[in-house]
Amino acid sequence: MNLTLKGKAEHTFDAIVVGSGISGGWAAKELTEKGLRTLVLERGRDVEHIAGYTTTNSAPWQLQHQNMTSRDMLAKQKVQNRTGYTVKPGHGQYFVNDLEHPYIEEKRFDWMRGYHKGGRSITWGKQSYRLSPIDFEANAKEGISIPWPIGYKDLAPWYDYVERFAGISGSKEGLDILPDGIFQPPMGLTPVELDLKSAVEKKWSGRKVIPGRAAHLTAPTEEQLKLGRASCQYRNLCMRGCPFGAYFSSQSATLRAAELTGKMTLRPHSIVHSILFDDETNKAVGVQIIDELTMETTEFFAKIIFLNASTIPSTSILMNSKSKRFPNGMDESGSLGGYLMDHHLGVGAGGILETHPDKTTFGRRPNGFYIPRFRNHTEKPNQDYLRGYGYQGGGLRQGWSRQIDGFGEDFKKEFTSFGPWSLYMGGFGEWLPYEDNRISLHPDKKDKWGLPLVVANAGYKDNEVRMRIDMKNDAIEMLEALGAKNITSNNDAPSLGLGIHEMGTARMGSSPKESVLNPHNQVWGAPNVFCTDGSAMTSAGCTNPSLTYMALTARAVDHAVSEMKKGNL
Amino acid sequence: MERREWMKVMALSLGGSLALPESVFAQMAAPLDVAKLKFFSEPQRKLVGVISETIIPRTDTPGAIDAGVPGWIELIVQDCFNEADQKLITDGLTAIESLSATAFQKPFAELSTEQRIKLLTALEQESKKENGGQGSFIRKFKDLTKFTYASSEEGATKAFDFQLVPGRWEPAMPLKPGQKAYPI
Repeated sequence: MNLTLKGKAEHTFDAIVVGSGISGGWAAKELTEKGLRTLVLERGRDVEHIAGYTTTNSAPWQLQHQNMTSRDMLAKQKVQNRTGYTVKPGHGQYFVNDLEHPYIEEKRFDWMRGYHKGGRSITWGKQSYRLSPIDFEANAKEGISIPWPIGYKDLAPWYDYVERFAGISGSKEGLDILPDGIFQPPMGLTPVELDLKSAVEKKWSGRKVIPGRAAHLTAPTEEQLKLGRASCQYRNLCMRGCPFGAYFSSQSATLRAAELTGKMTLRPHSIVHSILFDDETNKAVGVQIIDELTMETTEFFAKIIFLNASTIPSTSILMNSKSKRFPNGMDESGSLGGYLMDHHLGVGAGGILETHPDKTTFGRRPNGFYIPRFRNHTEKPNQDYLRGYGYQGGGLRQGWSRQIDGFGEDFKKEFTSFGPWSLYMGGFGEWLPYEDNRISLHPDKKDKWGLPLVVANAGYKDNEVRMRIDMKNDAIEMLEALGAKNITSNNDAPSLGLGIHEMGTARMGSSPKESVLNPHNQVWGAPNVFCTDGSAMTSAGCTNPSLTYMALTARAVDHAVSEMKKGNL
Repeated sequence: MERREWMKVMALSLGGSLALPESVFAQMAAPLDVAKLKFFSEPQRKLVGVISETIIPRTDTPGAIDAGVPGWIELIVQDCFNEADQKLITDGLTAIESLSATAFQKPFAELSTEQRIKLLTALEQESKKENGGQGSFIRKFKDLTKFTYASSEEGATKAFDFQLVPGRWEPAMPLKPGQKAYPI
């Protein structure tokens, strides 16, 4: 450290947040609102709310190649394109350049990510569900991995808290498997979705078809309006950034709130190399960063550090933070890097409906229907496996891309008219935490900033494979119950990462012998380091996880600040 | 290629055929930079224009050429397609001319509308015998014509009901007879 005293003072804050995505934005908001001068370190470029969304108002003909992926784009984003939808001229700028951000796949691992302010809060799917008491208890009951060190009751008030601020549209259903929350009005189901609801709930008493719960405003609160957020305009161009701030993103919501406190300093192009640990006080004192553009190394100091770099980067930073106390990185349990999870998808079914020819939809709903988990809950599985899955889907009229025979005027007439209703549902299955689904840092290979490359060695096992058989067949049966025609189904080879729900690798637990984080997301042995992104997850549940990261973060900040005030940090 | 030249090529592409009015070329939309188009030879470029206009002719709404579809097709084949798909397209264009020569002893552009539709229909039906038509030239070309037309300003706003900002969600709106579908 070659900083003068003045230099050090300029580099010292009350708190540092690493990352500005969904959980980092929450940490920034909560810390600054509690009065802490907070430095937010973002490894990538700045993306200004609204002004930074360069493609948000572009019509298809105003986009490069009418929004079709060019070979030039693909050359730089081949891995990012593995979903089939991420690398498009309209939103490809929110996913990394693979040539600059390589990693090593000992087994296939699809790592979709964006390094810029707001992270994946700009491009996320916005589906927002609580984990249930059943999810929190599953590991303990089944003897899988380790028990969660917290229960639903610990997180429930924080779910309330984050839902109220973020704005979640949805319906109260009174289901134990999918706890209700603080909701704005749901987005209505289409006629064929309502038919599905009747057919499925009639045939299977334990199944429900409900509107998707999503982080879109449908009746903004005063607090949301004050932040400059408006109701959803039903454009469904969300991945380009919303000029109405209608969906929850760091830009529209948390970072905006943090800015308004006057307590936040956000530094883009700041790649965190490691956490600086003081072996005398047994506390972290700050972080070392590399400037993305100048390659210069700098240090920043604070009493509290929140790691919110997203699952794999947060774990990588912990691994790269070596001290006398932590010679192999900030973990003594051996679990750091292990138990990588995702949700497995790419399995489901769809069909055509001959009903409701006199109706269509207006607007593009950025949402659909949801079928909460019923296997190993209200119904036993047909195959032998643990846990279960939910379905997300939609029933809309087919558009011009449907296959229509013929050419000329007759063809054109049909092509520019509405097709029949079609309905698709796809499963999201729980992925069990396996010790040997690991990421690690390569001992020699480094990226252009000198940081060790991530090595992924993780995949699916029998439980996932068996579950998928039910996931496909149940979808077909529900479409049959609806009376769908031309039912087609798919069950692609599951690939870890395509859910873009990476979880685990720095799990929470009740003992430093078997976990990286304590029940308040503090690193065991370094109590002023908190990690509240997906890496903290002890199990995955089968619902979209971002809402849980928000709740964990708000809860951890509350704990951090109260501990700091008591002089314990 | 210069825009003026491009217009000339398109205008000539239908040769002596009276099947399409000359005026369809008058206001060809060009939001894309035709100067960047280098993929097709001139005969191919003409043929792409004729085939796409045969698929989506001008009616009370714009046709493929009005909508700039031939240019968009060339741009996408040139910049987005891989080599195998590029070859599928160029081979397919060659095949159309030879089918036309065999069946009607004329270049495709000189056929009547009826003859052109007949030829393409036969090609489409034949292609469906294998893999339901997937991976065939005619499917690929037709899909590309549909995509570029629905994604063009003329097509999206005149033949379809384009809404950049719908502003509301109605899950069950009554459908009027002949109501235009949505391009996105």
